[in-house]
Amino acid sequence: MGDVTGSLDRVRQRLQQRYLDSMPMKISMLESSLRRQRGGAPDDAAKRARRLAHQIRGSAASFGFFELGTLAGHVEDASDDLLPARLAELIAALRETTQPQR
Amino acid sequence: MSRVALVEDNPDNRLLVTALLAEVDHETVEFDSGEAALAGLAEASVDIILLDISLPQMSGLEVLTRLRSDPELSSIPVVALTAHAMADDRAHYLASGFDAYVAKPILDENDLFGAIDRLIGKARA
Repeated sequence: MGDVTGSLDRVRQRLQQRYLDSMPMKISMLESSLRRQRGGAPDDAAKRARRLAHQIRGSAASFGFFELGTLAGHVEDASDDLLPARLAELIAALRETTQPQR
Repeated sequence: MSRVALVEDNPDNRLLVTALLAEVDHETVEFDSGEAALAGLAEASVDIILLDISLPQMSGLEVLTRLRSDPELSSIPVVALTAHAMADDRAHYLASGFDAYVAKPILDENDLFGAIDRLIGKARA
């Protein structure tokens, strides 16, 4: 059982790193969506942002990132008026999470 | 080894569950929607189905209803995967016909492994 537990821990660590490695792409997509909302293409951009936020909301806690999941939920549930502000909060948190440890 | 169907729209979650199950010698067949699962399960020959409740378009509950009405699939155990983790939710899903219930996020994989082993063991007994 010890061997299995150790291998499961290693799987989780490897996939957590892979999840972190996927963040720059997600951040880029969310930033693009935010720019488009602010630039006057709100409907399509908001839909894309909410879809990606839904994905992060549903997976972040599985990889140990509980706060990110909560913030992504705020984006998904935000009214159109509040969406840009909530999105900016999520992007900032994603950036902070993916900063290399010093 | 057992074959496990995973019906889950979130690709990151599919990756995690599939990798964890592989460590305990379960082979996973993935479906990203209820519609895809209903189209592919008859050919997949799985021992158990892990079914996300909050799927887009067709919900997990509707997928379960259709599975139970299909003579070829109705006897396969189905585990609900859901972020709705209140006690009332658990009772509701079990009363709806799910064989077991595992809360998401899956922080302790033994909850999932235990449900799978118990249900497959019961089905093979």
